[in-house]
Amino acid sequence: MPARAVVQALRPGTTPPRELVTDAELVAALQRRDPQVGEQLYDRLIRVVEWTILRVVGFRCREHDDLVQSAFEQVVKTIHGGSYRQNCALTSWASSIACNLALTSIRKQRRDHVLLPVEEMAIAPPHENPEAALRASRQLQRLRLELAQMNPDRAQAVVMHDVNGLELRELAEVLGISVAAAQSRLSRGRHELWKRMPELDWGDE
Amino acid sequence: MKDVSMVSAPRPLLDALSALRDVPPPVGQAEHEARRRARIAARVVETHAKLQRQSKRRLEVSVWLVAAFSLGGWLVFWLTPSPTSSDMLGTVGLAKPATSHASSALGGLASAPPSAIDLSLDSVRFVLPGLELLSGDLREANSSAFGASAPTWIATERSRIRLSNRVELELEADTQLRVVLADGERAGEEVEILRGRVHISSNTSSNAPVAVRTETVRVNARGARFSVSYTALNTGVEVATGSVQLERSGRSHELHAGQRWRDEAGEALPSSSAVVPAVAPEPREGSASLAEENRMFQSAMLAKQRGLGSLAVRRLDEMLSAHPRGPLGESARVERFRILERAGNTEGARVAAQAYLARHPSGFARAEAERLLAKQR
Repeated sequence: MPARAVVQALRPGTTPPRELVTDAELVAALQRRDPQVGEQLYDRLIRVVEWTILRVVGFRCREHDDLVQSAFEQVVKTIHGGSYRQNCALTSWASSIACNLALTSIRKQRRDHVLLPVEEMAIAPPHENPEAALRASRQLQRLRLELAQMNPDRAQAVVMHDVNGLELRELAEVLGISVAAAQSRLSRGRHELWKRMPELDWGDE
Repeated sequence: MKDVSMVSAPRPLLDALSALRDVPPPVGQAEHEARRRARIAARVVETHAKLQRQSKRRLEVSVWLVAAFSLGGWLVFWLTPSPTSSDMLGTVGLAKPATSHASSALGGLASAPPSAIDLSLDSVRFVLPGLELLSGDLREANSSAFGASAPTWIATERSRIRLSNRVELELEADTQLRVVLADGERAGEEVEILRGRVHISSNTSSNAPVAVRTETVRVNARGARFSVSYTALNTGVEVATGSVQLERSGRSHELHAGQRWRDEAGEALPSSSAVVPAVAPEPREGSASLAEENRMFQSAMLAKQRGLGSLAVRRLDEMLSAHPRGPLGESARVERFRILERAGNTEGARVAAQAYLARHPSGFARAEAERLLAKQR
């Protein structure tokens, strides 16, 4: 442990800790067990992780904090195990892990027959008509359930690209596959989702 | 491979997916946030320490196992009566010509490089990383055991193999292959990939031919650098230099440098649509692009790391104007007032900290921003 880091750890607040600015530095700090790395990693990834979970799950469920913590543990495990090869941004990698955990959580809730409260189900698109807003909210939740039920790899590709806004190239890097394979996976995922929701209609009814 | 835009889902589905993006950014109470931050930060360090301990323990066990194997090997060797001179040569690691590898039952094993510990499990062997094995080492000790009964080699880490005609193979981790004789001894060796990815480099000066095959495709090349991957009945071929010939079901097709082909659908080969000349640019939709935001943030952080504070602030401003509600927005705003404070721009830092607090009243750096404001008051 570097002496400076020890001093900072013993005197929190007196000197601001040195920020680890790049992903490579964060990973290196983790490997050498820098005491500050936990907070640095948290500050870097928390927004991405939490937002991904909220987008996929749709509301702050009871296990929300557990999901966030699991995502961080998974990130650390993949860095240690070498799965994260630093060929993509750490935030993208973390959002991919969070996406998987969130989809698994929905699957588990469905398996355990947990009823989702309608009022918390989703953030409905702005709508003047309350009925239409409720319908849109239900459709969004249905979309989430279908995403959780479909092929996990394809669902992950769809969420990462169409919801989280990752580029195809970066999607391929995160998934560890070629761009062509990522393109194919995304295309098949969209088709599978569309087949599952043929009645989907977001127009004003 | 078809382009995504050509087969994309109907507009309502894309609209529905983009509606998922509109979840407002998470807002938590400051106390809860601080508690969670401390808990998860501690958990991160603890998890990593635990993993390191486990790795260390596994390494120790592996070392003991290797030592035990080596000791056992030496004991067997010394207890074996009157070894021949050629066996003695092999045990001290002097390489023999590749042609003699299959000459005797012991020859193949004895002529392996000194550190190429052979962990034979009947027909399965492991390629140890960082070693160069000659093709003779890949054969079964009994030379007749080529073809279907040839041993399967597994690379648990990135490894390298050189065939007798100087063709070099680089095996990625978790790759399995066999070296078989195609159509008899005269046709030469053929690499059969059972799983994983292999990078093949056929020396252009020697112009040695190389044949690689998977369950579905056979690839012939001469003086080319290319890679072949095979997973779950899908073969992928990518050519870096030179050209290769793909063969399947009596049809053939030539791939040139920079081209790649992937057999995902398992259809008859090779149709021109399956050959991808280059990475197609992705059609961009919507404004929220985490990738772009990542790039801009990383660029700002690099500028900061190099001491270019004003450039870093400019980059952060560009990022915030392009992605005002992006997931990295809060981190960018925090970095902004930190950089300005360090650069001695107290007024700028004060304004940036106030803007941060206004936008993220319970953000993770709230205490830091308040401290900065109190200091300047």
